[in-house]
Amino acid sequence: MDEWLQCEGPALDVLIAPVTAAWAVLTLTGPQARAVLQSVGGDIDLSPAAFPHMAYREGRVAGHQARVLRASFTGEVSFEVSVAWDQAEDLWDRLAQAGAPFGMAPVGIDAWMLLRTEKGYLHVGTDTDGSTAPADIGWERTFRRRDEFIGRRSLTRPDNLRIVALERAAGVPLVQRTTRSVVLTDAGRELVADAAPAFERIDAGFTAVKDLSGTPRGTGRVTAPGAYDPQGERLNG
Amino acid sequence: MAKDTPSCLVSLPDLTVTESSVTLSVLRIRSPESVLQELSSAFGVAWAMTPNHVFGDAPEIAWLAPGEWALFAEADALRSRIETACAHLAHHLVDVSAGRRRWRVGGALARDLLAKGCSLDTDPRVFAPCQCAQTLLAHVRILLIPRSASDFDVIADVSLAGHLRAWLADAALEYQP
Repeated sequence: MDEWLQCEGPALDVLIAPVTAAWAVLTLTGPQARAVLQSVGGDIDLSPAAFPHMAYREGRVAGHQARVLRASFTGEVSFEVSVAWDQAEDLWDRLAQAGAPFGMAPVGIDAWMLLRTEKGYLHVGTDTDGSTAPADIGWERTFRRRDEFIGRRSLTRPDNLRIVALERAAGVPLVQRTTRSVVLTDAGRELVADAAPAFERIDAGFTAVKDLSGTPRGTGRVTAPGAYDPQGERLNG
Repeated sequence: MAKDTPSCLVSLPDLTVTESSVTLSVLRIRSPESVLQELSSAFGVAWAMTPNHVFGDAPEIAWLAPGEWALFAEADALRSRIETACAHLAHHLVDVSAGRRRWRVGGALARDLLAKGCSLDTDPRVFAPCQCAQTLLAHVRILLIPRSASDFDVIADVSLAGHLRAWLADAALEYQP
């Protein structure tokens, strides 16, 4: 952040204060998250109307001063409760106790990441790479932006030969995707089998043309590097 | 912030290591030169811009970086004085007590112990109680403040406390009789 500020915004009246280690975040997630948080007591109105998704409140939670953010990695109702680091253990114990009657359990990071992926909350750079187009991951909504952006023309070309575009042209799914694998559907296998001979002919065509390169023909010209005005007379004239 | 009773990690005739919480706020000011006078009168001390300098008494203040100081007090106890002094400047005061731990390393062997994991010269001729330094101890970023020729405060992020605690205990083993 500091490097960014110093390189991109040295004139900005901005200060950066790293405070990460001073805070701890405990997240409650799931259909019963609100009920559990409610039962530990506090002065924040947790009702959906008073505290909607993506809203932020400050107040007391189980006797601790807290910052609460309703953001979700799982697609379920979630409350991210931030308290001073040295209060975290006590808050954990109180939440665990309050959650026990609901069958609450700690969630592992792998489950967390799978839930996030299934919900379609993608990490650009983790779940995507430089070859991913928005349409590949269901982000066509970015094309609906009115303003121009670099790449719009390429991304919206009707003949964009990406799998999604191929599927659009074929009218049926060609590959089946899960979080762990990508396999051809029956239609995909059939298309590959039908199209393969045509691609083989194209490959054969290129190979045949390349073979001609063994036969020298035409006029050759040999020059030294820097052949233009080698003495620099024109340059220095 | 919650205070805990200091716990003794090492207790030898020539070496003691005690761990405790620390009350610490960090003040950041853009262009602090223009409010030096105001800060000095608000805190009753000649506010210093000298790098790695420790000054003041209530609270004690340590220079961390240009425009950045550690104040050993709760932020709430400082806020009104800071607001008055820095009224028209971009500034930020934050209490990070919950994010830090302190180890007091003392005794004739204190410098030997630190030298095992810290390359800084802690000789009192070049590192006196009016100074501080941000350096590495056992690969952990620390704020090091000499309290006397043989007593030092080591302040580090709480998230690395477990490692530092284990390292200090281990480094002291060879001095056991």
